[in-house]
Amino acid sequence: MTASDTRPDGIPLPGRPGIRPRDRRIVQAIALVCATAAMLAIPWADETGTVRKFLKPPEKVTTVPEGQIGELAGAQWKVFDRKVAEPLGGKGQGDIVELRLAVAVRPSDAAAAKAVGSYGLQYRLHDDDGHAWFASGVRTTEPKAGVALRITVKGTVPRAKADALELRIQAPKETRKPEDPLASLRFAR
Amino acid sequence: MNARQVLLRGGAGVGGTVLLAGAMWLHSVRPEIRAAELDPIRTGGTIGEQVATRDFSVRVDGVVAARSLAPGFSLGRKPPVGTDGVYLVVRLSATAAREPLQLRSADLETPGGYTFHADPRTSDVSVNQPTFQPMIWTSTKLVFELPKDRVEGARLVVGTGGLLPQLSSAADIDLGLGKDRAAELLQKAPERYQVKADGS
Repeated sequence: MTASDTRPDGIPLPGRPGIRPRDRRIVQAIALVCATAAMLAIPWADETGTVRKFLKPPEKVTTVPEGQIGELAGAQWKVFDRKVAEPLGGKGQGDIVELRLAVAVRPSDAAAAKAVGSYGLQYRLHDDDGHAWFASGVRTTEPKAGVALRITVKGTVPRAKADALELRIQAPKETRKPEDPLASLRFAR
Repeated sequence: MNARQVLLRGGAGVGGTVLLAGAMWLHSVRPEIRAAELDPIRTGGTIGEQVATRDFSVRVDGVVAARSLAPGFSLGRKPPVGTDGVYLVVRLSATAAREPLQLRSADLETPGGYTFHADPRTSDVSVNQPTFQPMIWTSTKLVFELPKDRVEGARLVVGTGGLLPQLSSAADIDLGLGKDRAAELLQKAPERYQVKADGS
């Protein structure tokens, strides 16, 4: 029996250059581990990216006391009046009221003016127990850069909650950069 | 090549084939979830009872049968919207638990495994479904068209549904339509029922 038959580990064969069999097996093992890890990690990362597109984006809420000025979507916002009125068409529904908040807003530039006039701007009224009510914003003029305008935010809410509700304004989704959270402004009471 | 080498290489070939087949099988394995496991989570109840789910509360206030439906406001006198079967109009009130929502799915499940979606065949007699808000009870109506022999034993299933109904909330309400009650409803079913009229 010759050395070419037995091929003992660690002894290079005469006249056959290259790495030794043991080293070759180590390299093969490392390559196998790397390939297995890549086979698991690449589809995982791919699926994660796909799923994330359809998830609700994270939200960054900036809180200012009601009556103070807050910044959102490049504009300055301030709640300067608050009224409770009977809802339109309310037929004896004494347990609900219409909450009207007068909000002053001044866009700083043209992009902010476009955001303030966007349909994607969302108004919601929140209480401390995790409830939320829809509200709509009504303005009489088109937003212009550097010019303050008034927006009346109206929402139909339970009478018992009307005095305690806080206004939250969510910036239009179009103003969010892909990696950034969605900005919201909360007026705390 | 001696017998030992043949055995060694043959064994390596068989082992490699088995490993390759195993890798292909592993690659084809996917998390398996049976369709019914992600169905909306139902909360049961009966007519007149307040049924509270995770996302909303609903109460069925009444059920009416009609032979035909009167079209809504129109300048000309349009003919009523008839049917070979019967219209079942379900009056209900609902409120959201936390956030504003709509009840996007409404089905009538009848014995025999038949399911009927809400919504009549023309928009003239359909009711725009409202947005339900927390702590505010809002009334609406659901209109179903179904064969007369399917009224008995019908159950209403309403939920937040929509495009992604997986594990959403749903209420499964027994409408109390026993044999006698179903027969009474069909017997008293009016023509030109006004779906959009209040209090009917």
